[in-house]
Amino acid sequence: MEADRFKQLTIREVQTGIKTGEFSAEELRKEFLTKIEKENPNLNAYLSVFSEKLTDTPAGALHGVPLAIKDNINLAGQITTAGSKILASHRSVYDAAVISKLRAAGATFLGKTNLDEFAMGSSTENSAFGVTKNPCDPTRVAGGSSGGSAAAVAAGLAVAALGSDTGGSIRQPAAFCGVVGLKPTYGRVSRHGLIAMASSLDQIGPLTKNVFDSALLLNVLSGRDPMDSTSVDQPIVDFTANLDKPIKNLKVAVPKEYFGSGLDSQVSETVTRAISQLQELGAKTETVSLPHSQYALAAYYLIMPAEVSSNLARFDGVRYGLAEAGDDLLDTYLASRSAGFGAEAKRRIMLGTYALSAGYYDAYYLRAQKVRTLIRQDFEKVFEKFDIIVGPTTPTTAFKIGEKKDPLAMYLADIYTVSVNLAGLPAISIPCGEVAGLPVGLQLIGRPFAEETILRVAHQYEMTKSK
Amino acid sequence: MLKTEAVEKVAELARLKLSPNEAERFQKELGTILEFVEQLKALDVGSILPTTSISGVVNVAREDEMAAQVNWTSLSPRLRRVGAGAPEGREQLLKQAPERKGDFIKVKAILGEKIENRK
Repeated sequence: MEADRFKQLTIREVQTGIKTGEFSAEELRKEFLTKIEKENPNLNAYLSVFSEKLTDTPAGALHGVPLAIKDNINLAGQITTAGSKILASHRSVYDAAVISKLRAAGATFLGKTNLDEFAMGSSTENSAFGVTKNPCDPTRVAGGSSGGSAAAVAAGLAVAALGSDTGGSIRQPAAFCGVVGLKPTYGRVSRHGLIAMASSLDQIGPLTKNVFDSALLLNVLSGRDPMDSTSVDQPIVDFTANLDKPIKNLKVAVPKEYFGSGLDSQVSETVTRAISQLQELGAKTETVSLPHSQYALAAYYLIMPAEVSSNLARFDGVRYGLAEAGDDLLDTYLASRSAGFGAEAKRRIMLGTYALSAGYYDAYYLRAQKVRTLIRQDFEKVFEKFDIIVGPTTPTTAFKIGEKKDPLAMYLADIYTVSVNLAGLPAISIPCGEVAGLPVGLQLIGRPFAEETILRVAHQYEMTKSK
Repeated sequence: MLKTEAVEKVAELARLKLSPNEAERFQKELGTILEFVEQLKALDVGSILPTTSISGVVNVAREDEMAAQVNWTSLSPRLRRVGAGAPEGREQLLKQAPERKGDFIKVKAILGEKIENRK
């Protein structure tokens, strides 16, 4: 296969290629493995690669489609590190719910992709296994925390990938690498087998080359799972069915808070142009206000670390993962956790522990949960009158590796994405142009469980853009 | 600004042992982040209810029934390895414990002279 074709190859083209006999599932997988072997040492998108020959590949909707999986999702028999030294040699014992579904649909797996430790970060610089480089410019980050998945798709080292999104971890790297990233509604996709970071915010979703593939993967990933009691029973729909339905007279809200200070002026211009294009497609746009937007990041940096401190308490050097034997149990805990966790994990565990500790709970954690209510209500109010909300995915294009040394400066990279997780809404980032050769992402936010609408708008924007 | 003792206390609660360099660094960084989140105090949230769950799903329950008996030997090797209660999965899990005695995970003493003396 020609080098350029890998970067373009979509799920639909794989289906056609296998059907017409252009390649078999095994041949295609081998071609990808060869390319990964050659290019991954520079890119560091994959942490592990699966070279075993295919045995059984069911004839489902994803028959023979080679995928990359973020390394915080369990795949039985394979190493799952979550980007952390504490799980460096941990072997998964079971498949995550999403992996079982993908297997049943006939997908194949190329390997596990790099991420910030336990998905905590916006650049993969917090990975214990080195940074992932941006395929558009190797001196820049691929974004994070699903940076490995975004880079693998953008560089043509996978047809599509899975990521997880707690505060922007699918959408931000998708924007930085120029691919499509979808965070489904909280509860749409089972989290069973995803290594938990912040359980009330985490959601698994696809990173793909186009919107159609995103819809196709969502078809397979969706559905209530008895193993995840927060997953929601929703009617089964085909997300690809209505992608071409016209968006004439669709009501589009543009929050003024998403275009304030901090937004790069050229990114702003690029996103504004994309919004005008939606108007040309017949959508009606109007400026609105989400008055509590400015408080989202602060609320997020209390709620998320609180949940992190609780979820990461299970890593104790006793049952699995890195163990540093101490004189007694407490020594073992202290030694194992201090040796196994990186700086950002320690920072967030301590921040969360502080916010939950006696005397500070009301002032920090409880107050943040109340602000979460205000942020959710802001969205509810706008969605009474509008079908979708649009704006930039990130305030800037991909930044340089090593550029953001202060943790708070790094946190600001997620300023437009975190409120979506706090409100549990679906959102997609799609490429909408470039600034100085670097991709810009347009974020479309929908009502709860209205993935169909954001996918439809995204698809039609994508079609006119490529014309 | 976060006090040195507060950082030590939080590290202890979180079961982390910090080097002097780490303690100094985290004191500064956590202080900056806590200053940043102070802005929430500007909001009047007196009458607002907290959001604890976003999906609206409450009290998920099921009948307390015994799960169907699975004949593990009839399944493929992969299925024997995965799935709740799979015998090979159990062995795979036990194998990853740092210390083990038969089918038990071995832990250090939690009671004893040394621990009590520490406090």
